[in-house]
Amino acid sequence: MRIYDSYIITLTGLLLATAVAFAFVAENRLDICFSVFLIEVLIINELFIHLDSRARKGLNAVNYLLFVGFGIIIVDKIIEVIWKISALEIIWDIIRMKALEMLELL
Amino acid sequence: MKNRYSELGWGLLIAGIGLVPTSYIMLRSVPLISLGMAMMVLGAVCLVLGRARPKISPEMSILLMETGLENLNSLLEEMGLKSKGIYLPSRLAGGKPRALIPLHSDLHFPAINKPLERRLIVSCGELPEDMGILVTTAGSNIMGMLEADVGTSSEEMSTALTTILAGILDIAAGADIRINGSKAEVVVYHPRLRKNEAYWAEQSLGSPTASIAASLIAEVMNQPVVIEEEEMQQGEDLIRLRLLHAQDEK
Repeated sequence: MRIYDSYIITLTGLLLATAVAFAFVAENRLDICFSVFLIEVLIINELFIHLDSRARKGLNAVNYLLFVGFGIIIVDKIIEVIWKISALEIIWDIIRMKALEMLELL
Repeated sequence: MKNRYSELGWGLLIAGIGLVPTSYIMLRSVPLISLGMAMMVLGAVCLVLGRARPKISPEMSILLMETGLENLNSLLEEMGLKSKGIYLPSRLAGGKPRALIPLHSDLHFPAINKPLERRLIVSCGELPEDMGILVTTAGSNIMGMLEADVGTSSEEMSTALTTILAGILDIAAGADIRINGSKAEVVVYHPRLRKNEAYWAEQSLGSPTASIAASLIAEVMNQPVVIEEEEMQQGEDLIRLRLLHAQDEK
Protein backbone atom coordinates (compact mmCIF):
# COMPACT_ATOMS: atom_id res chain seq x y z
CA MET A 1 0.00 0.00 0.00
CA ARG A 2 1.73 3.17 -1.19
CA ILE A 3 -0.07 5.47 1.20
CA TYR A 4 1.12 3.32 4.12
CA ASP A 5 4.69 3.56 2.82
CA SER A 6 4.40 7.36 2.51
CA TYR A 7 3.02 7.57 6.03
CA ILE A 8 5.81 5.48 7.54
CA ILE A 9 8.55 7.31 5.65
CA THR A 10 7.15 10.73 6.62
CA LEU A 11 6.75 9.81 10.28
CA THR A 12 10.17 8.16 10.43
CA GLY A 13 11.86 11.18 8.89
CA LEU A 14 10.10 13.57 11.23
CA LEU A 15 10.69 11.62 14.45
CA LEU A 16 14.34 10.87 13.71
CA ALA A 17 15.02 14.45 12.60
CA THR A 18 13.51 15.62 15.87
CA ALA A 19 15.70 13.21 17.85
CA VAL A 20 18.77 14.51 15.99
CA ALA A 21 17.70 18.13 16.58
CA PHE A 22 17.28 17.49 20.30
CA ALA A 23 20.73 15.88 20.42
CA PHE A 24 22.18 18.87 18.55
CA VAL A 25 20.80 21.39 21.04
CA ALA A 26 21.71 19.08 23.97
CA GLU A 27 18.11 18.87 25.18
CA ASN A 28 18.11 16.58 28.22
CA ARG A 29 14.47 16.69 29.20
CA LEU A 30 12.79 13.49 28.07
CA ASP A 31 9.31 14.83 28.81
CA ILE A 32 9.85 17.54 26.17
CA CYS A 33 11.03 14.90 23.66
CA PHE A 34 7.99 12.72 24.33
CA SER A 35 5.59 15.66 24.09
CA VAL A 36 7.06 16.77 20.75
CA PHE A 37 6.86 13.19 19.41
CA LEU A 38 3.20 13.05 20.45
CA ILE A 39 2.42 16.32 18.68
CA GLU A 40 4.20 15.15 15.53
CA VAL A 41 2.31 11.85 15.47
CA LEU A 42 -0.99 13.71 15.87
CA ILE A 43 -0.12 16.15 13.07
CA ILE A 44 0.92 13.39 10.64
CA ASN A 45 -2.24 11.42 11.45
CA GLU A 46 -4.33 14.48 10.61
CA LEU A 47 -2.43 15.18 7.38
CA PHE A 48 -2.96 11.64 6.10
CA ILE A 49 -6.73 11.91 6.01
CA HIS A 50 -7.10 9.48 3.12
CA LEU A 51 -6.09 6.40 5.12
CA ASP A 52 -8.78 3.73 5.27
CA SER A 53 -10.95 3.30 8.35
CA ARG A 54 -9.13 0.24 9.73
CA ALA A 55 -5.78 2.01 9.61
CA ARG A 56 -7.28 5.11 11.25
CA LYS A 57 -8.78 3.07 14.08
CA GLY A 58 -5.43 1.41 14.73
CA LEU A 59 -3.60 4.74 14.66
CA ASN A 60 -6.18 6.19 17.07
CA ALA A 61 -5.25 3.37 19.48
CA VAL A 62 -1.58 4.43 19.19
CA ASN A 63 -2.66 8.03 19.88
CA TYR A 64 -4.49 6.92 23.03
CA LEU A 65 -1.40 5.07 24.27
CA LEU A 66 0.75 8.15 23.67
CA PHE A 67 -1.82 10.26 25.50
CA VAL A 68 -1.59 7.89 28.48
CA GLY A 69 2.18 8.47 28.50
CA PHE A 70 1.58 12.21 28.27
CA GLY A 71 -0.85 11.96 31.16
CA ILE A 72 1.80 10.25 33.27
CA ILE A 73 4.20 13.13 32.51
CA ILE A 74 1.55 15.68 33.52
CA VAL A 75 0.84 13.87 36.79
CA ASP A 76 4.57 13.73 37.51
CA LYS A 77 4.86 17.47 36.93
CA ILE A 78 1.93 18.16 39.24
CA ILE A 79 3.53 16.01 41.95
CA GLU A 80 6.80 17.86 41.41
CA VAL A 81 5.09 21.24 41.83
CA ILE A 82 3.17 20.23 44.94
CA TRP A 83 5.63 17.99 46.76
CA LYS A 84 8.89 19.12 45.12
CA ILE A 85 9.84 15.55 44.12
CA SER A 86 9.83 13.88 40.73
CA ALA A 87 8.06 10.54 40.99
CA LEU A 88 9.29 9.37 37.57
CA GLU A 89 12.92 10.07 38.44
CA ILE A 90 12.58 8.18 41.72
CA ILE A 91 11.04 5.20 39.93
CA TRP A 92 13.72 5.27 37.23
CA ASP A 93 16.49 5.48 39.82
CA ILE A 94 15.06 2.49 41.70
CA ILE A 95 14.85 0.50 38.45
CA ARG A 96 18.41 1.54 37.59
CA MET A 97 19.75 0.47 40.98
CA LYS A 98 17.98 -2.88 40.84
CA ALA A 99 19.24 -3.49 37.28
CA LEU A 100 22.82 -2.67 38.26
CA GLU A 101 22.56 -4.97 41.28
CA MET A 102 21.35 -7.79 39.06
CA LEU A 103 24.19 -7.14 36.60
CA GLU A 104 26.74 -7.23 39.44
CA LEU A 105 25.34 -10.56 40.62
CA LEU A 106 25.75 -11.94 37.12
CA MET B 1 2.18 -13.75 1.86
CA LYS B 2 4.38 -12.23 4.57
CA ASN B 3 3.30 -9.08 6.26
CA ARG B 4 6.33 -6.83 5.94
CA TYR B 5 4.77 -4.06 7.99
CA SER B 6 4.27 -6.35 10.99
CA GLU B 7 7.81 -7.70 10.73
CA LEU B 8 9.20 -4.16 10.59
CA GLY B 9 6.97 -3.14 13.49
CA TRP B 10 8.11 -5.97 15.74
CA GLY B 11 11.74 -5.28 14.89
CA LEU B 12 11.49 -1.57 15.69
CA LEU B 13 9.44 -2.16 18.85
CA ILE B 14 11.81 -4.75 20.28
CA ALA B 15 14.85 -2.67 19.37
CA GLY B 16 13.29 0.40 20.98
CA ILE B 17 12.31 -1.49 24.14
CA GLY B 18 15.89 -2.76 24.40
CA LEU B 19 17.48 0.60 23.64
CA VAL B 20 15.57 2.75 26.14
CA PRO B 21 16.51 0.99 29.41
CA THR B 22 20.01 0.18 28.16
CA SER B 23 20.62 3.84 27.29
CA TYR B 24 19.20 5.02 30.62
CA ILE B 25 20.84 2.48 32.90
CA MET B 26 24.20 1.87 31.26
CA LEU B 27 24.91 4.78 28.94
CA ARG B 28 22.94 7.65 30.54
CA SER B 29 22.49 9.09 27.06
CA VAL B 30 19.35 11.18 26.53
CA PRO B 31 19.66 11.25 22.70
CA LEU B 32 19.73 7.45 22.59
CA ILE B 33 16.75 7.26 24.94
CA SER B 34 14.79 9.61 22.68
CA LEU B 35 15.86 7.53 19.67
CA GLY B 36 14.58 4.42 21.46
CA MET B 37 11.26 6.16 22.15
CA ALA B 38 10.96 7.13 18.48
CA MET B 39 11.65 3.53 17.45
CA MET B 40 8.94 2.28 19.81
CA VAL B 41 6.40 4.73 18.35
CA LEU B 42 7.35 3.74 14.80
CA GLY B 43 7.17 0.05 15.72
CA ALA B 44 3.67 0.47 17.14
CA VAL B 45 2.55 2.38 14.04
CA CYS B 46 3.96 -0.29 11.68
CA LEU B 47 2.23 -3.05 13.66
CA VAL B 48 -1.07 -1.23 13.43
CA LEU B 49 -0.70 -0.67 9.68
CA GLY B 50 0.27 -4.32 9.23
CA ARG B 51 -3.04 -5.38 10.76
CA ALA B 52 -4.97 -2.89 8.62
CA ARG B 53 -3.64 -3.92 5.22
CA PRO B 54 -5.96 -5.98 2.98
CA LYS B 55 -5.98 -9.70 3.62
CA ILE B 56 -6.25 -10.54 -0.09
CA SER B 57 -3.04 -10.13 -2.03
CA PRO B 58 -2.94 -7.63 -4.93
CA GLU B 59 -2.44 -10.53 -7.34
CA MET B 60 -5.66 -12.18 -6.16
CA SER B 61 -7.53 -8.89 -6.45
CA ILE B 62 -6.31 -8.48 -10.05
CA LEU B 63 -7.32 -12.06 -10.81
CA LEU B 64 -10.85 -11.52 -9.51
CA MET B 65 -11.22 -8.21 -11.32
CA GLU B 66 -9.98 -9.55 -14.66
CA THR B 67 -12.23 -12.62 -14.35
CA GLY B 68 -15.28 -10.43 -13.81
CA LEU B 69 -14.33 -8.08 -16.64
CA GLU B 70 -13.75 -10.93 -19.07
CA ASN B 71 -17.13 -12.47 -18.27
CA LEU B 72 -18.89 -9.14 -18.78
CA ASN B 73 -16.84 -8.58 -21.89
CA SER B 74 -17.99 -11.90 -23.35
CA LEU B 75 -21.61 -11.08 -22.59
CA LEU B 76 -21.45 -7.66 -24.24
CA GLU B 77 -19.52 -8.96 -27.23
CA GLU B 78 -22.03 -11.76 -27.76
CA MET B 79 -24.89 -9.28 -27.63
CA GLY B 80 -23.02 -6.84 -29.88
CA LEU B 81 -23.46 -4.01 -27.39
CA LYS B 82 -21.25 -0.95 -27.67
CA SER B 83 -23.59 1.69 -26.28
CA LYS B 84 -22.46 3.89 -23.43
CA GLY B 85 -23.42 2.69 -19.99
CA ILE B 86 -25.57 4.87 -17.76
CA TYR B 87 -24.46 4.87 -14.15
CA LEU B 88 -27.53 4.84 -11.92
CA PRO B 89 -27.73 5.76 -8.22
CA SER B 90 -28.97 3.13 -5.78
CA ARG B 91 -32.38 4.85 -5.70
CA LEU B 92 -32.96 3.79 -9.33
CA ALA B 93 -30.94 0.58 -9.48
CA GLY B 94 -32.31 -1.55 -6.68
CA GLY B 95 -30.18 -0.98 -3.61
CA LYS B 96 -26.74 -0.11 -4.91
CA PRO B 97 -25.26 1.91 -7.77
CA ARG B 98 -25.28 -0.06 -11.02
CA ALA B 99 -24.81 0.63 -14.69
CA LEU B 100 -27.44 0.24 -17.36
CA ILE B 101 -26.22 -0.55 -20.86
CA PRO B 102 -29.00 0.27 -23.36
CA LEU B 103 -29.59 -2.36 -25.98
CA HIS B 104 -29.76 0.26 -28.69
CA SER B 105 -26.68 2.16 -29.74
CA ASP B 106 -28.14 5.53 -30.63
CA LEU B 107 -27.40 8.59 -28.51
CA HIS B 108 -30.85 8.81 -26.96
CA PHE B 109 -30.61 8.11 -23.26
CA PRO B 110 -33.97 7.05 -21.84
CA ALA B 111 -35.30 9.18 -19.00
CA ILE B 112 -35.13 6.90 -15.96
CA ASN B 113 -37.28 8.27 -13.19
CA LYS B 114 -38.41 5.21 -11.31
CA PRO B 115 -36.50 2.27 -9.82
CA LEU B 116 -35.66 -0.45 -12.27
CA GLU B 117 -36.33 -4.10 -11.66
CA ARG B 118 -33.45 -6.05 -10.16
CA ARG B 119 -32.89 -8.22 -13.18
CA LEU B 120 -30.27 -8.54 -15.87
CA ILE B 121 -32.47 -7.42 -18.77
CA VAL B 122 -34.76 -4.58 -17.78
CA SER B 123 -37.15 -2.14 -19.35
CA CYS B 124 -35.88 1.36 -18.77
CA GLY B 125 -38.30 3.68 -20.55
CA GLU B 126 -41.71 4.19 -22.06
CA LEU B 127 -40.88 2.96 -25.56
CA PRO B 128 -40.71 -0.78 -26.32
CA GLU B 129 -37.11 -0.45 -27.52
CA ASP B 130 -36.01 1.11 -24.20
CA MET B 131 -34.42 -2.04 -22.88
CA GLY B 132 -31.01 -2.56 -21.39
CA ILE B 133 -28.89 -4.80 -19.25
CA LEU B 134 -28.27 -3.82 -15.65
CA VAL B 135 -24.80 -4.74 -14.45
CA THR B 136 -22.80 -4.42 -11.27
CA THR B 137 -19.56 -2.53 -11.81
CA ALA B 138 -16.32 -1.83 -9.95
CA GLY B 139 -17.98 1.20 -8.42
CA SER B 140 -21.13 -0.54 -7.19
CA ASN B 141 -19.78 -1.44 -3.76
CA ILE B 142 -17.60 1.55 -3.05
CA MET B 143 -20.06 3.57 -1.01
CA GLY B 144 -19.90 0.93 1.71
CA MET B 145 -16.16 1.59 1.99
CA LEU B 146 -16.69 5.17 3.08
CA GLU B 147 -17.28 5.87 6.74
CA ALA B 148 -19.49 8.92 6.42
CA ASP B 149 -21.98 10.29 3.93
CA VAL B 150 -20.52 12.43 1.17
CA GLY B 151 -21.85 15.91 0.50
CA THR B 152 -22.62 17.24 -2.96
CA SER B 153 -19.85 19.83 -3.07
CA SER B 154 -16.91 19.21 -5.42
CA GLU B 155 -14.44 19.31 -2.52
CA GLU B 156 -16.25 16.64 -0.52
CA MET B 157 -16.58 14.38 -3.53
CA SER B 158 -12.90 14.91 -4.38
CA THR B 159 -11.93 13.94 -0.83
CA ALA B 160 -14.16 10.86 -0.94
CA LEU B 161 -12.78 9.76 -4.32
CA THR B 162 -9.18 10.31 -3.18
CA THR B 163 -9.89 8.26 -0.04
CA ILE B 164 -11.22 5.42 -2.18
CA LEU B 165 -8.57 5.50 -4.93
CA ALA B 166 -5.49 6.29 -2.82
CA GLY B 167 -6.34 5.31 0.74
CA ILE B 168 -8.41 2.16 0.24
CA LEU B 169 -7.76 0.70 -3.22
CA ASP B 170 -4.25 2.13 -3.82
CA ILE B 171 -4.84 2.56 -7.57
CA ALA B 172 -4.05 6.27 -7.85
CA ALA B 173 -2.34 9.08 -5.97
CA GLY B 174 -5.43 11.25 -5.75
CA ALA B 175 -8.35 12.75 -7.62
CA ASP B 176 -10.19 16.01 -8.20
CA ILE B 177 -13.83 16.39 -9.17
CA ARG B 178 -15.31 19.54 -10.68
CA ILE B 179 -19.07 19.77 -11.24
CA ASN B 180 -20.46 22.49 -13.49
CA GLY B 181 -24.19 22.15 -14.07
CA SER B 182 -24.72 19.00 -16.07
CA LYS B 183 -21.01 18.45 -16.75
CA ALA B 184 -18.50 16.86 -14.45
CA GLU B 185 -14.77 16.55 -14.87
CA VAL B 186 -12.63 14.13 -12.89
CA VAL B 187 -8.85 14.26 -12.87
CA VAL B 188 -7.12 11.15 -11.50
CA TYR B 189 -3.45 11.64 -10.61
CA HIS B 190 -0.94 8.87 -11.29
CA PRO B 191 -3.51 6.16 -12.04
CA ARG B 192 -2.26 2.60 -11.94
CA LEU B 193 -5.16 1.06 -13.86
CA ARG B 194 -5.41 2.32 -17.41
CA LYS B 195 -8.22 1.79 -19.84
CA ASN B 196 -7.96 -1.31 -22.03
CA GLU B 197 -9.63 -0.39 -25.33
CA ALA B 198 -9.67 -4.02 -26.41
CA TYR B 199 -12.32 -4.82 -23.80
CA TRP B 200 -15.91 -4.23 -24.99
CA ALA B 201 -16.89 -3.81 -21.37
CA GLU B 202 -14.50 -0.90 -20.94
CA GLN B 203 -15.72 0.73 -24.15
CA SER B 204 -19.24 0.78 -22.65
CA LEU B 205 -18.46 1.33 -19.00
CA GLY B 206 -15.06 3.02 -19.03
CA SER B 207 -11.95 1.99 -17.16
CA PRO B 208 -12.34 0.66 -13.59
CA THR B 209 -11.16 4.04 -12.26
CA ALA B 210 -13.72 5.93 -14.38
CA SER B 211 -16.38 3.44 -13.33
CA ILE B 212 -15.67 4.11 -9.66
CA ALA B 213 -15.74 7.88 -10.20
CA ALA B 214 -19.01 7.69 -12.17
CA SER B 215 -20.67 5.49 -9.54
CA LEU B 216 -19.64 7.88 -6.79
CA ILE B 217 -20.94 10.95 -8.62
CA ALA B 218 -24.19 9.21 -9.56
CA GLU B 219 -24.79 8.11 -5.98
CA VAL B 220 -23.87 11.40 -4.34
CA MET B 221 -25.72 13.60 -6.87
CA ASN B 222 -28.57 11.05 -6.97
CA GLN B 223 -28.74 11.30 -10.76
CA PRO B 224 -27.84 9.07 -13.70
CA VAL B 225 -24.36 9.78 -15.06
CA VAL B 226 -22.72 8.90 -18.38
CA ILE B 227 -19.00 8.78 -19.08
CA GLU B 228 -18.52 10.82 -22.23
CA GLU B 229 -14.79 10.73 -22.66
CA GLU B 230 -11.61 9.46 -21.07
CA GLU B 231 -8.31 11.07 -21.91
CA MET B 232 -5.09 9.49 -20.76
CA GLN B 233 -2.24 11.91 -20.35
CA GLN B 234 1.18 11.63 -18.79
CA GLY B 235 0.66 11.13 -15.11
CA GLU B 236 -3.09 11.75 -15.06
CA ASP B 237 -6.39 10.65 -16.51
CA LEU B 238 -9.07 13.16 -17.43
CA ILE B 239 -12.62 11.79 -17.33
CA ARG B 240 -15.54 13.84 -18.64
CA LEU B 241 -19.01 12.88 -17.46
CA ARG B 242 -22.52 14.15 -17.97
CA LEU B 243 -25.30 14.21 -15.38
CA LEU B 244 -28.42 13.29 -17.29
CA HIS B 245 -31.06 15.10 -15.28
CA ALA B 246 -29.11 18.19 -14.21
CA GLN B 247 -29.73 21.63 -15.62
CA ASP B 248 -26.87 23.49 -17.23
CA GLU B 249 -25.90 26.64 -15.40
CA LYS B 250 -26.77 29.78 -17.34
